[in-house]
Amino acid sequence: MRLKPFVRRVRLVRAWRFGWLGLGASTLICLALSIADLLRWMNVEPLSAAIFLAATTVLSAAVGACLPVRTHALADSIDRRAGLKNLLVSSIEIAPTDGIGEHIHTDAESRVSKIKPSSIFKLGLAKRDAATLLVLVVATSIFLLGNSPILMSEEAKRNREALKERAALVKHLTKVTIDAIPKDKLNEKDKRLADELKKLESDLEKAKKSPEELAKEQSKAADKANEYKNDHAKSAIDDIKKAHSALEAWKQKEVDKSGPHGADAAMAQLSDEQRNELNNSLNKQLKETEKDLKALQSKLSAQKSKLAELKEKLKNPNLSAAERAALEKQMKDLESQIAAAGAEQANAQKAIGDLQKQIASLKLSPEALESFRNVMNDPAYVELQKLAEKLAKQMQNQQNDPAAEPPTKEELEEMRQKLEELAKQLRDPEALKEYLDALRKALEEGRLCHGMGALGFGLGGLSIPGLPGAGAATMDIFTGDTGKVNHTDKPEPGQGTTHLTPIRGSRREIGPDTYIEIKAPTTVGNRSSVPYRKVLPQYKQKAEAAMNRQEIPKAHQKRVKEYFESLGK
Amino acid sequence: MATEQDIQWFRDSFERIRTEVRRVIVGQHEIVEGVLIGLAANGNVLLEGMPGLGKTLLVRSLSDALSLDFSRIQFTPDMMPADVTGTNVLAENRTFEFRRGPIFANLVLADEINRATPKTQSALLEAMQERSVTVGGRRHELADPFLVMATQNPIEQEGTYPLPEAQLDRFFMKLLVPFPTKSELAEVINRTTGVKVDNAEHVADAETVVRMRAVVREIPVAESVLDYALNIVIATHPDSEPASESAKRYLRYGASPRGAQSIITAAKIFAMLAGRFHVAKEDINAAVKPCLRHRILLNFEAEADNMTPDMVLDEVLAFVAQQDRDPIRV
Repeated sequence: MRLKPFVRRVRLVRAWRFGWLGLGASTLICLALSIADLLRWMNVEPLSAAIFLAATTVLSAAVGACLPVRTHALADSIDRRAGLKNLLVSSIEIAPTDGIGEHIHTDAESRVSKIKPSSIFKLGLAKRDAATLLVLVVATSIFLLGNSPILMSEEAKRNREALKERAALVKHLTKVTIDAIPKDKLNEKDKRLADELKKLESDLEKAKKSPEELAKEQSKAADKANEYKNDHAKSAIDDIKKAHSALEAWKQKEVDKSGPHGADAAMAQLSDEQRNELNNSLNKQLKETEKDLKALQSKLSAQKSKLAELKEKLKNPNLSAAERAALEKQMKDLESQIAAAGAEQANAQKAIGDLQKQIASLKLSPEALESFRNVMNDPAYVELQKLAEKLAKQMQNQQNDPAAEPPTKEELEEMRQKLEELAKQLRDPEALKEYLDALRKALEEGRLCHGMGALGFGLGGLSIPGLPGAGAATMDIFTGDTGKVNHTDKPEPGQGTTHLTPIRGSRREIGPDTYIEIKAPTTVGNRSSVPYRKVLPQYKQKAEAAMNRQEIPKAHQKRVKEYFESLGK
Repeated sequence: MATEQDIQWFRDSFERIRTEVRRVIVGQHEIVEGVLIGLAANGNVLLEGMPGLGKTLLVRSLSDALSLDFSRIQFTPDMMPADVTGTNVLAENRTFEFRRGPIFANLVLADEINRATPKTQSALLEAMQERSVTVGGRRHELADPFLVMATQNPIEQEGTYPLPEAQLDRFFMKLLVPFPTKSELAEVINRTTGVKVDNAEHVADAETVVRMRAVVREIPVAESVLDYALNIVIATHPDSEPASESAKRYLRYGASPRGAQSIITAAKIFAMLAGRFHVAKEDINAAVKPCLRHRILLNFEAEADNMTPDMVLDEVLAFVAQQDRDPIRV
């Protein structure tokens, strides 16, 4: 019997029904979520809710379509729906072996062929489906109501707008810091922080959370950024040390390969003049030391003869006790002098050996000298070493002093270029691969340190509307708003590459040395106690230097200038 | 092996007999049909109704239509088994000769069977079951076809001997004869008080009845339909797990296996009469009350609540139907 069309239809109808059931269940959940969203208990993403609804519906429909359709059950159902009075079931269960059995089968096939599957398994909206749609409309309305400004007070609307601006700032901050670094360079912690920042941006955008909560989240992110900045600084230092060790190892290897055994690699780095000068000096020292050794040897032999004489005198039995004691004392003194002279002699011999070795190490093969000079005299190497030292120092400062200036992007880029230049110029870059790799890694860590530092500073300086903080509402992410700067232009996020310089301290309001107690969470989480007048000139100079270096966009230079002037009043 | 033609022949024969009987009997369509189903199913029928509702006329008309022997036994308390079965009498040649009782007929009307003593009732019921009587050590076969239609009056219960459950179980069906409607009663009066009284014509014979019985047995029953019938029977047993609530509450005993046999046989005939070659659940439903109403035993609570067997069976049917849902719920 041809029941396949009915099987397909049943699957379709089941998918339809299950889809509605899934939609109904997910709609109820969304209703609860929209109420929670309205009451600000939680923040519901409309896209997530829509995806949840669609996914649940599709999944339920798929489950419905995949449920098995047994032939007997289908026949029974068709019998009931088409009023066949158990004809199909009977035709399935009764074998067509006799006349009646055959007639039942023929009759069943004839009747089934006249039935349209769609006429007995109908697709339609049940009452509960209509109820589902109604609940969906209610849930959507509640959600829209909760997210529209209709029910908000004027102050709440202003706060919301201000929070949206903050969201744009966080987005910009993320874009110029973490997002500017290739994803594969970020570690897991950095990636998590990036996700948290996106969530913070979303929370600010939605303005669903209280200002206190948002400030807490922001402070937490800033703390993390600072913490990670220190981690990256430490990693950079470690990498620089590693690079140094690798370089030293390479040098020693080169010396061992080309020069006499035990030669010092440092010697190989000297120029010909230095080498000759050092050779002369060493030979001179060697001669003097040999001379001293000879003097010591003659002195020692004289002392030994004198000791032998004293021993002979002591053999005389006619000596008085006082004479004997005096002789024995002399003998003891002499013995200690001989021992000291022996030690001096040994030292002199060792010094001679060392000098001889140094003189020998100066006589390295021309190839070794050539190899060294190619690298060591390379201006890129020299510059690179200087930059590496600077980087190490900056990283050290970052660790010790949170307010220390991190390396700029330009410095990092310069160092990278030097590094790549050196790598290209090297005759055998593979030999120095470990050194180059470690330096590259240090550079990456430096970049991350820079990004995290800028991020931590940026987040720390960002205020949440409705809370006392580092500054009032402003679109300038570099500085806080003193309230004394007239905003004549439209706020807009900064563009292009920027260098974020943290400025910390307490704001002076009236009179000298005033303190502001910041109750909201700050970047470092602690109240600042640095007198304002101590830090202001320093940062003012830095700001001026930055302006001189054209690091601050022209559109903002005037504002920065006014800002620092207003602080000094 | 039955064929489509056999089924058609059955329907035609049944319809012919029914039409002929209806020509004489006014109204009482269900009773006529029930009696004919009992005849076709080779089962005896118990009729319960007031006197004067045409029960005797029905049997007589049936015998006329089928050209079968007919006898009527009016049961009384002093009636002896031999009055039903027959007895040995001393013949002129000083030998005992068996003289047949009224039970030796094709159609027997046992009128007011509950007025006879249990002893006499058992003699009749034994004959119904065995289709033979044994007198003086000799077994005497009854006629074929053989159908007993027993009647009992539901009102006058004084001085009666209600049939025990075991004996009631031997009746294929119990039909409740209703009082005719006003128009039917008027027709009855007109027919019976006039000059001309219609009699049923001969439209079939014993061979027809025997063949009809054979055809009935050929009708197949699907497993699921049989299962449905058995569910109904089991649901009447108050101690069984799938018993209905009403059965648990109102019944002392449920239907016997004979009840299930009767339902299936009757359902087969209902199916054929409906022009089908297979038994449907609606045939089972149609057969339940006539086949089971005398096979279930009500308890005291049912009597206190004025419940009748039909009411309990209605609830049992509803219970089973509720459990027998569409397996594909979409």
